[in-house]
Amino acid sequence: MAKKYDAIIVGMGASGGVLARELTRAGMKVLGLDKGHELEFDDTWKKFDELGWSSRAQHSPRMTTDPITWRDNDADEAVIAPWAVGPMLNPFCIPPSLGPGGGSWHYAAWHFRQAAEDFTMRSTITERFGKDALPEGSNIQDWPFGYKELEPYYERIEYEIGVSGKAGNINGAIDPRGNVFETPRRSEFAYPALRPGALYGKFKEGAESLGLHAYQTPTAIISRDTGERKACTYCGFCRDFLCHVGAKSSTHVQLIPDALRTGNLDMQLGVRVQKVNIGADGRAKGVSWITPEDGGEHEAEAPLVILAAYVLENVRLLLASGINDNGQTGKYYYMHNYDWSATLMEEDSLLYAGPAAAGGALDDYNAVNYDWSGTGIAWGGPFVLFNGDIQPTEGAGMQPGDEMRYGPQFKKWLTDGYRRMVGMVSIGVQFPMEQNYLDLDPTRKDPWGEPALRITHSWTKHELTYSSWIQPKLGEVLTAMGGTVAPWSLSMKPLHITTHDHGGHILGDDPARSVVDANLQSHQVPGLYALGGGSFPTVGGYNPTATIQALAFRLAEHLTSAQTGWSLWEDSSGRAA
Amino acid sequence: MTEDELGTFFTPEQHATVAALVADIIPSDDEHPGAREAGVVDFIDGALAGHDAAWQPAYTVALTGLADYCLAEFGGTYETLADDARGVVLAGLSAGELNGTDATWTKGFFGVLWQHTVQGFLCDPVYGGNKDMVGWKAVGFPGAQYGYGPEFQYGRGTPLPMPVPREAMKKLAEEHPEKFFNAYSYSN
Repeated sequence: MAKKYDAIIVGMGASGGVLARELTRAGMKVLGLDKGHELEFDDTWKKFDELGWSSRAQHSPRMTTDPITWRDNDADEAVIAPWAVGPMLNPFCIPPSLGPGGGSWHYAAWHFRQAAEDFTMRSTITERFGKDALPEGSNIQDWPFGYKELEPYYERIEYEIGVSGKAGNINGAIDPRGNVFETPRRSEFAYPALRPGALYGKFKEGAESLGLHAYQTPTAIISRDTGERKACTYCGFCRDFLCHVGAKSSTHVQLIPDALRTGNLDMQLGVRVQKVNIGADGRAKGVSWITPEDGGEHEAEAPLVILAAYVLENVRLLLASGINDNGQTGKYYYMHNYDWSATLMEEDSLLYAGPAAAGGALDDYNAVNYDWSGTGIAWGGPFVLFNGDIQPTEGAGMQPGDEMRYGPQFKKWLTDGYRRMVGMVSIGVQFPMEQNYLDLDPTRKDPWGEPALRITHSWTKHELTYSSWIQPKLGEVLTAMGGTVAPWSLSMKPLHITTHDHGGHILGDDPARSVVDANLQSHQVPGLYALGGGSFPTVGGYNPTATIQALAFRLAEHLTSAQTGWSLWEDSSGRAA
Repeated sequence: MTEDELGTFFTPEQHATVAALVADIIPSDDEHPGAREAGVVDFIDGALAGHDAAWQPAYTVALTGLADYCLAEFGGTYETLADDARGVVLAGLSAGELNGTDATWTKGFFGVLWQHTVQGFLCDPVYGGNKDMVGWKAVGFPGAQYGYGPEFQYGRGTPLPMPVPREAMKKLAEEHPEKFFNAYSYSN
């Protein structure tokens, strides 16, 4: 007899942790499932290890257990995806990390709200440049709700987990110490901005000399002690690493412990969910999973099932469970379009010290802040400075691409280049395109017989146009801040999995053109919800975690409100509230 | 197998060839030790016996192909060749093709070897490479530091602390657990 719960959450990461806390606090009995395992006290010192935690990404899924295949287009045969969160060929793993906290303990912790226009991309592009500016083959839809709807939830996540930053626009009052392009906020950040990297001053001066507007990034890392958590120590083992003092605001640190304290969360780790089960009435009934350690097969029932895993696993589970009546599941897989440029400074850049996310950004080319007329570009993104948190093995791989990779010239790069390098990334958007999608691989399976996910993805004209246009602009800023050599770029186009993957279970009001509704509930299976980057109809240029977590708070409120979730819950479970 | 119990994979002949290859990728010079002094070949040997065992066949095939090539072209094993001959071999390897061979192993081997060489030069010494932290000293990386203050970050990194291995953080955590976050494990 399957055990019964009020809700089942698949994935206890950045969004699952939010939901677990909110639902258990509302009195629901929740089963939380995750493939990964707990971290321990010893991990706080073990994490000072680039090879294990970053290069080998030891906490990420592996291609041996979680195979994913990729092909450029329909006509090709898909191959096992050889990319990684680590550099180059090794390891064969996919993002993000597993276990409680998920991506929120290993990520760099940039924590941007989307701009208001990012929610209305279709109508904004059409208004500014006409319908013809929407790229052929794209499916750009406005979100069914906008920034104003999401703002209270952005505010909640910033205060609940602890986000540091400096507001640039509170209710219309512009503060040039923050981002002057920021969509108006109701409140200041929960914590003061972190101390930026060594070269922030030069970045700001350089940007200003070009008429651009640098600001300190919002970061989900606390800048002063609170409770058991200590302020950031600027150790620089941050992106890919557990925080040794609990400064990084992961759900692992801040929200999941609350959920456990309620006594209402049954968290089972090291388990692999295989199917969403659907009742005879067509409603979500529960999930089935296996425990690889003992080969055990398990199931549990609940009237609410929430898929809160990474986009790739969310889509794989939907497809493996046969939830694709309208043919939309897996469609429109898209990701951020990164461009990287770097230079060498005169002095040591201290590339390894401090979090990458305690740095600078500029938004002059983001969203609608630039007039793209005549460029062939419809939407832009921010520049984010990388002046911190780049360990030497990763740094070694960032040498100019045309230089020799062995011998005295390579040695000179290692001993002189790495210590003076500073880099900057442009985060451009990719639009949801017909040609890019996820489905189940027809032949490859995981070791337990479940089908692998197949990615069909290539870069399209808009991204390639943007990259060519934006690379020199990155270089201008690097040179203006004192770069001593011509800025060089590294192509990110070989990547078809990043940590910013989107689409596949897009939210929307039209059941024929989306997978979940505006409340993230499956159009096909009532009681089933899918949350994450996969639910974004479009993404702006900012890192998506803040928006994913805001959506999680919004969903939690929906599920626990008297009008919707509770009545559903009472009807289905037969339990009194 | 943990990183503290490194195994071995290479035959003595393979060990000698790889030691010479990695020493040519990151050479020693008057200023800084290179891959040889850092013990990079021992790192790769240990990695192939453990975490990176999936790469064993690639190394076996490539090192056999390389030995055949070097013998046919230059009459000896890679490590016995003169500098100019080694230069020809490395140029071919890094370009993914050696003149006179069309073996598919040449396509991807340099990338793997290069990645392993860099890892072995710059990893924590617990993995068998970066001996005496010579790699970190060469690149100016202070290793496992609990944190950095504004004086360091805005004073252009002077004085640069002597690098310390991860082991230093273990010691600190044992002696001063209050300096670390103690609630990552829910079951304790």
